[in-house]
Amino acid sequence: MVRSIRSASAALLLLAAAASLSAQSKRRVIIDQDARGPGSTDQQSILLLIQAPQTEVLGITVVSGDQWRDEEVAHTLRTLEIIGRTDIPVVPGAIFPLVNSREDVERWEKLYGKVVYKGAWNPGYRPDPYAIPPMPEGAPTTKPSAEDAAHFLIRMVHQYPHEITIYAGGPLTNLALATALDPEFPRLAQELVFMGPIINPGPADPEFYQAPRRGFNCWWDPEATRIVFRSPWPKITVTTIDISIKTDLTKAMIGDLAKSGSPVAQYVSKYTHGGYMWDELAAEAWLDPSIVTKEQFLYMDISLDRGPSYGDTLAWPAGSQPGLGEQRVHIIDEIDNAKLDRLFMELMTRPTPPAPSK
Amino acid sequence: MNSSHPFVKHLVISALFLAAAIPILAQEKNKVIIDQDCAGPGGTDMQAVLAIVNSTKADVLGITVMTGDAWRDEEVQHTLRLLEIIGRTDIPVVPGAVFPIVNSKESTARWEKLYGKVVYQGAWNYGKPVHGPFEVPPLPEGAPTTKAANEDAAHFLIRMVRQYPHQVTIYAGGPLMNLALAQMIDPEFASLTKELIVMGGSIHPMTDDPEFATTPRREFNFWLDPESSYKVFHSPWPRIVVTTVDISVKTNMDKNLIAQIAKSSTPAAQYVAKYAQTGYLWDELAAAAWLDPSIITKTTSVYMDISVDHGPSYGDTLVWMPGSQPGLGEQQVVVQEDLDKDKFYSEFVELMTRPTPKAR
Repeated sequence: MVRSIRSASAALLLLAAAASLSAQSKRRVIIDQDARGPGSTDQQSILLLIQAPQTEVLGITVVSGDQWRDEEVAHTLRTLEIIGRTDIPVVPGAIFPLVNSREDVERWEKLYGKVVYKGAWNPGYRPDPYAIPPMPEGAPTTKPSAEDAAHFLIRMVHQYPHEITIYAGGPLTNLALATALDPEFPRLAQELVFMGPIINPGPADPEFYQAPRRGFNCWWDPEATRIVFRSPWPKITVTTIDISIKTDLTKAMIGDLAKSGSPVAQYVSKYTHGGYMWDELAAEAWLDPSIVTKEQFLYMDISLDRGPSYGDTLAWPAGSQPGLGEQRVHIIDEIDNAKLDRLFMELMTRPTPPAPSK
Repeated sequence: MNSSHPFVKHLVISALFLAAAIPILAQEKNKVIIDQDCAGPGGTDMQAVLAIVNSTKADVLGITVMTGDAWRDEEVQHTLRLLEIIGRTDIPVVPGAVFPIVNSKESTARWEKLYGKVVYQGAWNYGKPVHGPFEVPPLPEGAPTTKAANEDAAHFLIRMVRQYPHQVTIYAGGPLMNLALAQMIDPEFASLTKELIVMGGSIHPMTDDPEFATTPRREFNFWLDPESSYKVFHSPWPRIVVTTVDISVKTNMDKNLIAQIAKSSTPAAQYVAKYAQTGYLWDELAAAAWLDPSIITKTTSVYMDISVDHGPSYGDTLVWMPGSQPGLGEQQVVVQEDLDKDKFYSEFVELMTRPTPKAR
C-alpha cells in the first residue's frame, strides 16, 4: 500500500516537471566562438546567451581567431566555473584555418598593405598556439570535452534536428569542418546567427575606412567562410561590422555592473575592455528581435581570390548575385541602442539560471 | 623425444621456438590505410586496393573512401562487395567526404567559361550515366550484404595514427579531402604517420595524349579539391612520395596483361580480369612501388604545392627545385620519374593473381 502511494506521488512529480518543461520549450543554441578571455566581447556574448532564461546552451565549440584555441578553451572553462555552469561542455575545435596562415598574410601585406587586426597573428602575440599564458581570472580545474567540435556539432543537430541555433561569433572553421564531414549538417540546424561580414561601414573608424570589406571573422579563414556561406542553412542572420561600430559598452555601464553583486556582473566589470559590442549585438538580436529597427536581405559570399580582395565580404541585392550557391542572408542594419544597452545590463545583473535538471 | 636429458630437451624446444619465430619476425608487416576514391567494379582504384590487400607485406587497417572517380556512397558499396568476393570482410570500409571542401561542379562550369574545358571531372561528368551524389546504380558484381563502418574517415584516420604512432603508411590514391579533414581536426595527424604515399600531381608529362599535353599541370586527384590538396601538402608528413602523371603515362595495361591475369582462378584475379579496362596504371604503380621501391629507377626531390588561386591555375601542381620555393609551408617530396616496366608488370600480375592472404 505504502509503496503504491509513493510511486503515485513520484509519478505526479514527474508529470508536473514534464509539464513545466514543455511549457517553457527553451531555445536550443550552440555557441561557436573564438572565445578570447578573460572578459571581452567573446566571453560577454557567451554570458548573455547563458544568462537568458529562455535558452538552453548545449555547448560552446571553440575556434582559434582572436586568440589560440587552447587558451580560449581555458578562459571559457574558467568563466563557467566562476558563474557555476560547469555543466555546459566546452568543446575544442580547429586550431588553424583551412588555407590562410600567418606567413601567407605577411606575404600578402607586402603587396596589398597592412592588415590592422590579425587576432592570434597580431605582431608581438605569442606564435606558440599551444601555450597558455597566466590567467588573471585564475586557471580552471575543469576539463574540456574529449570530443572535437565538428563531431559534437554534427551529433547535436542529428539529436535535435531543426531545433538548434548555431550562434557563430568567431571564424567559421568549425562549421566548415562539420559541413565537410556531414553535408546534412547545415540543413539540420534551425538557424545560423553570425557576427562577421562588413558591407559599407563609412568613415567612422579608420580601420574599416581603409578596408571596408574586411571582417576579421570572415577573413581569418576565407575558405571556411565560403563553405558556410554557400551551404543551405534554413535561415542565416548576420550582424555586420557596419552596425557593431555604432555600439558602445560605456564606462558608466561598466560602473553599474561593478555595483551588482552577481558573479557574472563582477566578472564582466573586472575584465571587460568596453567599446564596441561586436558579438553581444548578434546574441541580443537573436534573444530579442524587437531591438532590431531596420533589416534587409542580401545575397552574400566571400572572395577567395588571392589578390587584394582575399577574404573580403561580397554582397548583392536579389537578382544581381552570380548564382553559384550564395544564400539569401537576413542582415540586421539598425538597432535600438537604448534597448540593446538595457537588455545587456538586465541579463548581466540577473542571477545565472541553474543547470537544467536531467 | 628420445633423449631423457632435460638440458637437451630444453635446447631442442628452444631451437624449435626460434625456428618458428624467425619467419614471423622477418614478415613484420607494414600498417597501411588505403585512402581511395574506390570507383568500381574493377579499374585502377580497385586494382590498387587489391595490390595492397593481396600483398604479404601490408597490414591493411582500413579503407577510407572519398568521392573522386565516382561518388562516395557507390564507391563504398563497390568496396564492400570487393572485400566479400575476395574473403576479406575483416577490413573496415570507412566512409569519408562526399564533396570537395570548396570546389564544386557549378563553380567549375563557370571557371570553364573563362579558362576552357576540364576534360575529366570524375563523378561530376564521367558516370554512365552521370548521376547524383547519393544515388547508387545497380552493381554489376552484385550488391554487398556487409556494411560500412559507423565511423567517418577523418576520425578513423586520427584514431589509427594515435593508436599506432609513427607506424601507419597513408596510401592516398584519390582526392585528398579525408586527409585534409583529419589534419584540420588534429594538427598532429600528419606528423604521427609513418609516411604519405600519393598518386597525384602532374609536372611535365611527355605524351601526345592531349588531355595531359595541353594542361600539363592539371591532375584530377589534386584538382578536384585544391584546398584539401593545399592543406595536405602544407602538412609535416615524415616522408612524402608522389607518383605523378609524368610516370603514369609510361605505363599501360593492355589486353595481354589482362589475359595473363585471367589465367588465374583466384577470386581476385577473376574479378580484375572481368572488369579490367586497358589504359594507364595510375594508382597501381603508386601501390606497387610502395610495396617494392626497386620498381622505380629514377626519382627527384622537389618542393610541391597546389595553386588555390581561382584563376587559370586553380588546382594546378606547383613545383620548385630546392632553394627556389617560397617557403610558405611547402614540403619537400620525392617524385618518381622512371620505372622498370617489366619488373612492374610482372609484380603487378603476381599481386593480382596470388591467393589473398587471410581470406575467409
